[in-house]
Amino acid sequence: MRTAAGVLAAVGLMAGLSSPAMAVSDPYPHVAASYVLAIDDAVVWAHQPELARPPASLAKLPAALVLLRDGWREDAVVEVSAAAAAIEGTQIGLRTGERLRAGDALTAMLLHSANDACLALAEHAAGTAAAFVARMDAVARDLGLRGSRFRTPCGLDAAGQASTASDLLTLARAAMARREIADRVTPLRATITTVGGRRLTFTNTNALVGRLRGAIGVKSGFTSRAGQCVVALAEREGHRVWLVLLDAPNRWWVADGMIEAAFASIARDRVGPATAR
Amino acid sequence: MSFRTVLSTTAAVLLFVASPALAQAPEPGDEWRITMSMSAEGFNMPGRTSTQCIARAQRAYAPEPDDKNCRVLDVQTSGDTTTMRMVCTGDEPMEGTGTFTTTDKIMKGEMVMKMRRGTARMTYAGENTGKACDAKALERQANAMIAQGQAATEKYCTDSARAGTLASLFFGANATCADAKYKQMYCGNVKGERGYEMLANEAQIATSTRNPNPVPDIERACGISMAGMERELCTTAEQRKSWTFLAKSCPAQAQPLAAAQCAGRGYTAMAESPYRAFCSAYGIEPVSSDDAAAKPADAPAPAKPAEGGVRRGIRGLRGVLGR
Repeated sequence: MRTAAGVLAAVGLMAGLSSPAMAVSDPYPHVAASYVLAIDDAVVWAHQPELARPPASLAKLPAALVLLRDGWREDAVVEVSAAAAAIEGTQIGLRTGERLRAGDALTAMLLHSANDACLALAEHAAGTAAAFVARMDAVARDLGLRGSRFRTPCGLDAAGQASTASDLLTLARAAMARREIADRVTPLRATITTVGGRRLTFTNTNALVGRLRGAIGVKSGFTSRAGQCVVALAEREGHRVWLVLLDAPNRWWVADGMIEAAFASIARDRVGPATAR
Repeated sequence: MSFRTVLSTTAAVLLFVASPALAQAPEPGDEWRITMSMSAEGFNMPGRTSTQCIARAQRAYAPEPDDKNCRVLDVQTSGDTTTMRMVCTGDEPMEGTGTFTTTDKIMKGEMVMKMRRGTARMTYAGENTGKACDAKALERQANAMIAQGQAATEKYCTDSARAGTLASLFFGANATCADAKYKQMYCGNVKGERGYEMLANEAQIATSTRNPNPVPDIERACGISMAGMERELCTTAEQRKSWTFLAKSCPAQAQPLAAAQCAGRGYTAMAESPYRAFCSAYGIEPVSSDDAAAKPADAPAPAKPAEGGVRRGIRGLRGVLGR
């Protein structure tokens, strides 16, 4: 646990640093309540990056980090409680008492944003949702996230629950540094089989994967209070573009357009001067 | 001319000003320690001592007024001593006499100038310290620094012109690199979509910083027309499939195309559309509220009739809850 915390702290420190010579501009202030776009290690575009907003299912990223640092076992058997089976929002349709592998539940939670799988994992790891949320706050502290506080394990709206685009970028970098997460957010779909033999197939809720060239993650999110949110990552020719959008009407078109513009700026800066954007 | 300027002009007459020409070879000189003082009506400048390397060939006094309104007259030399008269016209007319004695070991002099406001007196005394020196050393250092600076400026201007950075370096009243050769290098960049975007960027920067727009100067110097470039590039952008340029720089062409190909189209439904890249680029451009309807939408507009109350309720519930 200490080693994992140390890794998290190192990631947080690294993610918090940006090139001192890179000026951050805001070329698209109209697209979202808040956004951050980074090219490799440097944030280049941002709009109100420290604005506290409900994170919706983007909170599943710190939840995944908690699960992986606290005695994680892929083949541990997780039993679905009544509360998990009855949870609101996106689900894969788990039933009370159903049992499945922790690894499969994690896949459903990250790929399909399944709240039933998420709560089942949280209860399995910490006993109660409240205890699990305390661990999420601990992860946030270890990463140096000053704008994040969590109240629910899976991102459902709750008073006092908030994060920022900047914090979510740090969380995304930490998450994608873990193979257990990175491998689960890239496929277009997945099929799992419960212990009882029921097969469940679900799709990636991140519409960019398979449509935007180089898109390899990370997480979608939506609630009525959060609006449309996404943490996106695309990789081309050795460069990574990270994008966090909070409350972005038409988030997929916006994410697609901004990431394409970011890659175009990399190519442009290689052959000529950087423009005001 | 102020009274203090009179004094400094008088002092300048007596300074041994080095030639501005580039000095390559050392020139034999002697080190002199010279003390100079000045006084005038109600003003006294205490003696200031400095060390100078004076060329042996230059030691013979040859007065050179620093002011074009002043003339040196009646110069007479007897042995080691030279006398002269100086007359200055202009705002502050004055007349004066000077006596200067120079030997191998000592030099001394006095200049007395009479003006309307009173009399100014400048005296100096110097001694040869006995040290030999290179009278051109300082001049060579200064020239080397100037040459270095010129070379650095040349490189900076050339590199910037070739890269097409910052039009204000080349155009406008305060241009650092105003030479025609740099302008021509800069003009080499102002072609095609990249060149047009450079001009648009410069105009935008000028607006946001409230500075003069350099684009007219660029157009004149480079023999181009930004409006002409826009016409040519925008009318062919769709044909060239230059979607980002079309979306960003050609509102007259982009809006109707977006209305036809993007409006209300869902992101996932457009995956295979040839206009997907255009709709993506158009989707992030700021447009007026009139054009907003042309924007693509993540979810496609519903084509079926109004749904029943139960389905509406379920859909609304999904909209509220986590997804």
